[in-house]
Amino acid sequence: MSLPPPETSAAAEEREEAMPWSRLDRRMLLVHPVTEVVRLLPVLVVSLVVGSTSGNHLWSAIVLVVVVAAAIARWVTTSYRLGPVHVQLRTGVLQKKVLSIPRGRIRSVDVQAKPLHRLLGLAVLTVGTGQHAGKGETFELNALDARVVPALREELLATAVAPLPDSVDGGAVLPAPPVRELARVDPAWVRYAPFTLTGLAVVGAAAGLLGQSGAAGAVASSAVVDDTYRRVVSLGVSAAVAIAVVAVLVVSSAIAAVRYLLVYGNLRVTDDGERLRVEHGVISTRHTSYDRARLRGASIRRPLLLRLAGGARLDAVMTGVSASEHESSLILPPAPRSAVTSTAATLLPEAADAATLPLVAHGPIARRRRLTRALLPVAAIAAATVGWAVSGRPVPGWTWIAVGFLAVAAIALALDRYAALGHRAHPGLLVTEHGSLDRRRVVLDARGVVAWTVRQTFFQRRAGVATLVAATAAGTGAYRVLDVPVDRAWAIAETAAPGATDVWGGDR
Amino acid sequence: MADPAEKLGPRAVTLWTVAAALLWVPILIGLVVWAVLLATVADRPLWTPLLILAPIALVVAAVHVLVVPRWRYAVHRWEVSDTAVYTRTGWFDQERRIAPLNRVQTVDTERGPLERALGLATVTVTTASSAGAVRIAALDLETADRVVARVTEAAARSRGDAT
Repeated sequence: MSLPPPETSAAAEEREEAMPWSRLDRRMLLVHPVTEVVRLLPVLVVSLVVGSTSGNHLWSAIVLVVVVAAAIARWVTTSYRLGPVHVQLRTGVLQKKVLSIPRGRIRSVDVQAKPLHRLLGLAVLTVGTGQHAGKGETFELNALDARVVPALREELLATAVAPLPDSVDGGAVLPAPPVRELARVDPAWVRYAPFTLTGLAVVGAAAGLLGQSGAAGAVASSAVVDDTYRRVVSLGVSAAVAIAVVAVLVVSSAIAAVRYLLVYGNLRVTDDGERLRVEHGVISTRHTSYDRARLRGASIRRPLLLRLAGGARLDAVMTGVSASEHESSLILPPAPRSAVTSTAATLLPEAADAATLPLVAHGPIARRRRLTRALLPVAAIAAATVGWAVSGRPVPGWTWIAVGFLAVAAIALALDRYAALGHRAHPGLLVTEHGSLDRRRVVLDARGVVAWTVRQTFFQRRAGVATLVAATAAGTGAYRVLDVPVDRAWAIAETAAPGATDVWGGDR
Repeated sequence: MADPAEKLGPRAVTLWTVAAALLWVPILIGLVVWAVLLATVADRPLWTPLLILAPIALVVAAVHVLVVPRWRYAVHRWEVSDTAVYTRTGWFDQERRIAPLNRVQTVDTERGPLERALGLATVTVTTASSAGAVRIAALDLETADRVVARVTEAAARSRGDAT
């Protein structure tokens, strides 16, 4: 398979109309039924149960046939065409749909392979545009022969990068720029994995599944569990709780570590001056190429736990790559802070020190607002407790201790949030940081800002502070500088993007 | 930082007042029906919930219908320069937004039934970020057309894909 070079002429469009549509790889006839069966597992289980109680296994057979037929129908009705002007995808069994993307709008190409795909030598190719695609609107070729995919990926992205190398230097083709390695994950960094919530999330999901399926009862009544339970309980309540907590922590840490190694253990980020490539995954693989000209900054995340362990993670802020999607803009998974800092510096050479740069604090009003907001819920709880006690009902002594503990935690949280709060503006650059539990510093290319907003809630107006919002087509779409003194808000915008306040900035 | 120069026409207040009133009329009718049912049908009428809810609804409705539109009117302003569009919107929470015209992607005019009846229109100028759309509500039709023409022309002059 090869792709015609991009063109936009009417003749090219005509040729494109004459092009045949191609089907996805035939091997998907094997993959689709399996994925459909997995997805419809609950239905199948129900049909099996119905079948065995009614003594009629026809039900299971019917469901299975429907599933396989649906998979085949999906393959037959899906076709694509990679033309000189557009890439097009035709889908839909009952409701036909054609998704058409102009070649010049392609911003990223993502190649993924789940275990089954890899086993069969297939890869899923997803084309990303600047739009935030809804479900069913992503241009996903699931799947193609893995051997043709790398070449296709290059050709699809070729349009996104400014072409015409031969027009420079009087027709001489410039040598390809050297490929730089921006980052590579050191397997030793797996030590940061337990400081994320992934392990806990898996344990929680597993527990929920056990509870729902009723298997929990079977597990709980098994002899081993019963015996262990008896022994643990005989140690007393606090010891039992402590043992349970330690057990959960050990298991979730182990899961997080294994997942880290399997997903990120071999992560590599390279940059050839035009494209940024991120590849990772041991079992399921993923390779994403981005148009480097679309890079608008970076986001350094330091959630509380990871921060206490001295780690951080790095994401790219890129036009046309939605940051809300899971890991779509990942550059570095949990890693030592020094590695994140140095990678950020190579990623954004024009803002090399932005990751560690001391920021301008937002002042006492911002601190007071952090404290108020953290303490208000605690005050409400305290008031309710006092009310309860005043009305003559008994209040257990530990309640007061708990309220006191909450208050201390709230103050610590507020002060930590204030400690992070800050900004820095240079011509062409905006750096903003906030948050405690989910702290992030965003380094933003201010030339990518499409609108500036200064927002004041009623209480912010009374306090004389404002939130500056930089709207951009990249990443999450909006980046905020929280609670800056109101007279500084527009000055920050004007510094970062000279001319931002247009004719209204000066004294008219 | 200066404020945008242009105020909306006084019909904006009418628009917001009517819109709010239309929202509250069914609720107030519901309360009246409730009261009538209690008085006529119920054996042992329980008036307490109604006596608590009705005054609250009346006060909130009065604020929403009488105060909020005027407050909003006092805040709302807009201006289009040669290179940017600037608005001030909101009432309890307020915001000012500037979008350079070379970042504009689309310009829409919207007219609901109420707006049509009053000869008003809402102009929305979108940029490449959903957080960057500039909305000028309740403009009179003639002004709206002028704004659209001006912004469209300025946007067409700029190059690039506005991201």
